[in-house]
Amino acid sequence: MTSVPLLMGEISIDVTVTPRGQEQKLRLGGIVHAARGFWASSQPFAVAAVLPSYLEVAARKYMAALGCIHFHILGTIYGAPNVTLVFDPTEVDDQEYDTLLRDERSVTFNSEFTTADLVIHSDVLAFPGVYDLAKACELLPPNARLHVDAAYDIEGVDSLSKLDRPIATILMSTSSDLFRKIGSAGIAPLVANLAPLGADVIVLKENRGGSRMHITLDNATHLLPAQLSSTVNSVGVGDVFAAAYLAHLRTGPLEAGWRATYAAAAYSQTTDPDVFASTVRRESLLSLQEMKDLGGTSLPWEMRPNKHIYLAAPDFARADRRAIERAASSLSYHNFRVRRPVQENGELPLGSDGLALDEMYRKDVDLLDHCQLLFAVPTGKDPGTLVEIGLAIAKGIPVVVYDPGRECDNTMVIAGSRCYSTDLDLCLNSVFRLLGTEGVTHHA
Amino acid sequence: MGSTGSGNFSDYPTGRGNDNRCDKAFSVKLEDIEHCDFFKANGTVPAVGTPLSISHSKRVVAQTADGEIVGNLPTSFNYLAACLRQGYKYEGQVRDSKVGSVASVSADFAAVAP
Repeated sequence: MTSVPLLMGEISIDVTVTPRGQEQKLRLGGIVHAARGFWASSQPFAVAAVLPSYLEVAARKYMAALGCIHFHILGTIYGAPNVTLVFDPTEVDDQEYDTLLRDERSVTFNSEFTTADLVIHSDVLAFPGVYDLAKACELLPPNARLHVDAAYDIEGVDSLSKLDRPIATILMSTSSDLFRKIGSAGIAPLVANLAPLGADVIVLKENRGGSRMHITLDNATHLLPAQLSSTVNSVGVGDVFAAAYLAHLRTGPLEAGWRATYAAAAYSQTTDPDVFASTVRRESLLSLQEMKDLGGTSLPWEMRPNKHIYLAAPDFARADRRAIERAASSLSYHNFRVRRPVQENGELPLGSDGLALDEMYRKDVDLLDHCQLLFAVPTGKDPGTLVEIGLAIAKGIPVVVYDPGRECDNTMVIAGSRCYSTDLDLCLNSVFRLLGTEGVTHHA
Repeated sequence: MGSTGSGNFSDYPTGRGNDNRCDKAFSVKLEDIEHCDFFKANGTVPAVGTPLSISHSKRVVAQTADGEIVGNLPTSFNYLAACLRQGYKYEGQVRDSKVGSVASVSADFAAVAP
């Protein structure tokens, strides 16, 4: 019997909380995202699932439709419905997942599930969760290659050491707690911290800034640029990356990484599985060299604080700062250094004299000169913001305008900006394109 | 059908869907004009109305009927490479062009399905 990869982890329900008046969007989540990645990559697979019992019938049926050839119950979740609310499906900021009754969850392993059930699987893609990963790994065949997507529920490197078996691949995202603990200083410290685990490949998924892959055998780190486009729903994108990577690993880790990047991008641009699969299969026609030559957007995590972004906005104490705070929070979440002139240089009281105004003006312009990009939120058609936009344009500093109220829908603002949009997702993409490297692939 | 509503799981694959992104017309501001064939050969940009087509030459590019590359498309248009491989063609013309401190060319394209 031909070996197929085993997908191990929780099955949940993702509910995207939509604005008032729109019906909520619901789909199976957890390892089902990765399953969609396998399916789109034309890769049959098997599943060892941890889920609430009420989901079993629906999950079996859905997984079968995706090409699952064996569906095993690894464990049952009690105490919670395993439903996750998603408030920001595009991840312009922290997606604020809210898993209902998460503190009440417990898992009981299926005592009828044994290693004999898994002997045919030479590769296992594991997504840690509320279940005991080490105990689950004890059930795996001794020669099965383990690939771990350490997004959530991994406290530290010790948690992975306790698996007591070789790990072929470690995948991690910059949005994970583990990354914040051991990798935020850069890829080199991350690789060093994970070195005791002896993984063949370490992949760091960096959201809109692309990914990096460290191949231990070569001791080389490769850039995998992001393919940015309008985001419909980014939940599960990283999981799809992991699945597509494993599906193509027979071609080598580097090509597998490139194909995974394309699959992940495709998944973010639609919730229609047929459209997703159609895109992935069409893009599989491109060779590795063609994908490399096409390039994409790369902006490594630890380089972003060096990119200072001037936040041009009426950032005053008494102003409506909701859009401003949203933009600032988004940029900070993605690790850029946001410079807020009103907060840094101060806010002048009304009626300040000319000398005070002049001094403040010069401080703000000096700050602008030290920034690589101006991000404007021209709430209320703030004149100061518009002047700052003009100054930046004249200085050749790229300008991105986030205008949710479309208050400055004006030729000079739109044409002078590198991006003008009411959509923060599109503005954020532009920030990455303008501050990252485009169309260039090289070793990190 | 994508995930819609909350009454049931409605996003089963049907095998009937298709990505219609390849079918869509688009407008684009080209990049790297001064580094591409046309500018290097002619010292200027193509006039408004010049017929262009899309091609895949390492990058996704816009070129004249003579095959001179006018400029690269931004990497957000990388998806066109696979569309071209499937047999799509993209034909259009220069919408705006100027030679200034930085040369610029904008163009409109329509898709021709295989």
